Amino acid sequence: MLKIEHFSKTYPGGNRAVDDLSLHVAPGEIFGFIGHNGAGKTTTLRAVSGVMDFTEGTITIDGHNVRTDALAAKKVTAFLPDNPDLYDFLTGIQFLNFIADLYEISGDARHTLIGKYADAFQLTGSLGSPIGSYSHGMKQKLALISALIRQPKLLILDEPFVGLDPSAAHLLKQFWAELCAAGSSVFFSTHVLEVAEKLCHRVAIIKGGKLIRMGVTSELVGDSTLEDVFLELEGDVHG
Amino acid sequence: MANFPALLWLNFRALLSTMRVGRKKRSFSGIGALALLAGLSVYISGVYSSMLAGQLAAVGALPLLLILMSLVAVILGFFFSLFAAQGVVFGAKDNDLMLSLPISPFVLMLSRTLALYLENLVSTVFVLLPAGVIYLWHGGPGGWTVLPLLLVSALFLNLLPTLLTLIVGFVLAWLSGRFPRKALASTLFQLLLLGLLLAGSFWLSSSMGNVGTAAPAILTFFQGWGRPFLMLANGVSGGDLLQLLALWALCLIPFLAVVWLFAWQYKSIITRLSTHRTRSDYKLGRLSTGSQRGALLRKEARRWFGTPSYVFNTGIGLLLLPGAGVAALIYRDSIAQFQMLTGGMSLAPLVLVGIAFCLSTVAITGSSISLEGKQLWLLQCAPVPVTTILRIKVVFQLLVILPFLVASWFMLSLAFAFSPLEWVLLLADSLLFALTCAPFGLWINLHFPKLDAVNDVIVVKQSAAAMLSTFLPMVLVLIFFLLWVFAQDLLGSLGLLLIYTIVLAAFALLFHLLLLRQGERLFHQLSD
Repeated sequence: MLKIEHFSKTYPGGNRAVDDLSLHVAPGEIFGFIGHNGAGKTTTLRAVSGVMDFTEGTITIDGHNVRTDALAAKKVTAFLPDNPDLYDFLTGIQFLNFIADLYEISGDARHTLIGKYADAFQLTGSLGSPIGSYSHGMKQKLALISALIRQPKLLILDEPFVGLDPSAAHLLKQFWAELCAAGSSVFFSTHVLEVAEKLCHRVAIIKGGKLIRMGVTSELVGDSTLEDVFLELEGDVHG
Repeated sequence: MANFPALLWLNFRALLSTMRVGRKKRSFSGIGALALLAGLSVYISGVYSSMLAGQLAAVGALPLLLILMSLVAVILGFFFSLFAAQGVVFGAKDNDLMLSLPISPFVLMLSRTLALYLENLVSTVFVLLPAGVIYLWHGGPGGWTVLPLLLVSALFLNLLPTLLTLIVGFVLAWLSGRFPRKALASTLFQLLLLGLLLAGSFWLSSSMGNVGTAAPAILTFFQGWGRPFLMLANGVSGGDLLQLLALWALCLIPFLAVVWLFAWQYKSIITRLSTHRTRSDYKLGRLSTGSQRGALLRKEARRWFGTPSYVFNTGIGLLLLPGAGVAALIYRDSIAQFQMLTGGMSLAPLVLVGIAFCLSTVAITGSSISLEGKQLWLLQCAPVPVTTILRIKVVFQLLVILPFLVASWFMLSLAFAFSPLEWVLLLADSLLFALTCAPFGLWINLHFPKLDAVNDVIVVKQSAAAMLSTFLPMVLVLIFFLLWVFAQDLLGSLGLLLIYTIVLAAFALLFHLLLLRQGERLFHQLSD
């Protein structure tokens, strides 16, 4: 579903955020991307989603090159940054309708999908209010609904569990499972290693912009925990 | 109070940083924007003072110049910082952080207010200083002490616009949090203020021609509500220190009283202002569907109409256009008489200059990229070509302008009794100017984005792109005006209008091509 080949990103000023990263995410797979702050996770996610331009390497989503066939790649993707700022001047339903128009979702489909996800996240009643009046958690839920109604083949999320209440986080995991069962993939970054260990079929650990370990979660962890593996790789475990 | 200098510095830097853009290669510093503000103040003061001084000197009422220009200084300061008070003092996004620090709300409020005061001081000083120089140039009484006293008085006089912006900023913030149609309420309130400003400007301009004869009546007016301005003139020109001291007290005491009042209740005020109510009775009904272009266009419209400061800062010209048309129709006979006196001189090129001036203030695209701010990711990951996103922004500005422009063109052409060819060329030139400004504003905004502003007010009011996209087209307007002044005899009305057509067509084409060729690259660079 997602193929990243020799991707590198250097910011103006010379900071090389990601260096020769290659990884594949298979259809139906939940893939966790782990690393400390500034490791290059967000840069990678932004490049994959088409938010950020890059010159080195190749990224393809469902066979569409992110750089040369960007619109087709974006059409099958949904991306949510770590702190998804939305249009405060729109109401929740106006925002969802805006997204549905951009992704050319039919009238019937958008009605069904918005109803399904908004009801599940208990946000339907608030959809008529301006987003500016929403709490942080409500905005997070609205952003998730806007991503899920696209029924993306690749769902890209940067720290998706930050700001979500436990029941919303539980729902989100269910919806991921639904998407993956339908052949879609989830590619997300997180600092919550317990979540990554439980949810991800495979994980990749990135440090200083370089991929230092990748594999099936159970094989990577073995008898240990993902936290131990991560800290060991980070060189933070002493003794 | 030990934190006060640091807070003042922080808030003043926050105000300045709103005028700065982050890119090192294309940096337009806060100091640069302050210089622009100072330059604009000098220009306005210089023009008005020069026009007034000659007439006032002739009737021996030169001190009236200081009275009128100090009034102009207060009005300008008020309008330059009106939205900053709403955004910085009452609507700052760092309230939670600041109130969690060991700082008293009083000190926080005072530091924000004084930061506003410092920003205002630039326009006040640079209005009063040229007025003082022109006053002395025309032989005004007072001698060498005039300028130092004027500068010291500026420090106190500047408290008045700051005080006014504080009160109006509070009202705006209160309105925006109280009404269901808060954007509409806020816009209407601002339009009311704008109406007052336009009425004041109209009064000042219409008084300009006979200010000499009207001097006694104007003086009588200033003996009432305008007394502080009279005291300033008496103190500065007559060396009456008692009057100056009284003026300083008159500015300082209400300022301190109002600041103390707000500061006393500051925490509760900003807590109440930041409280939003979300309704929970929405029921999902039938949803309308639309095209990508339609969705983007509706989004632009909702942002513009839903952001009062955006409407206010980019909509003045829209009001002026039909206003000028109506005024021209009312004074149709006077226009005809004037044209007869000047030997049938056509004023079509001058009318175009007026229309173009109004259009240059409608710089909607000059802020439209910056206003995407932290929501830019939504457009960046949308499956829509960048050229479409940019084109829709240009189209929206043109759609907003078009009805006002056509109405104005029709009324003005009728009132000035233009020839059929002048009707056509005037419309063509006006449309071409609009077609130049829209892509130009967007191109400028792509070069000078301000994506991290703490609020929308700062983007539309003080960002480098907003200023440049408004004032740079005015340079072209000035050139057109100078061409009319110096080349109308040589080229005639139609000749000038044709030259304008060629120049504007070239500019419109240039900026459309620039946007097409550079737009996508610049848009992608916004992420770096």
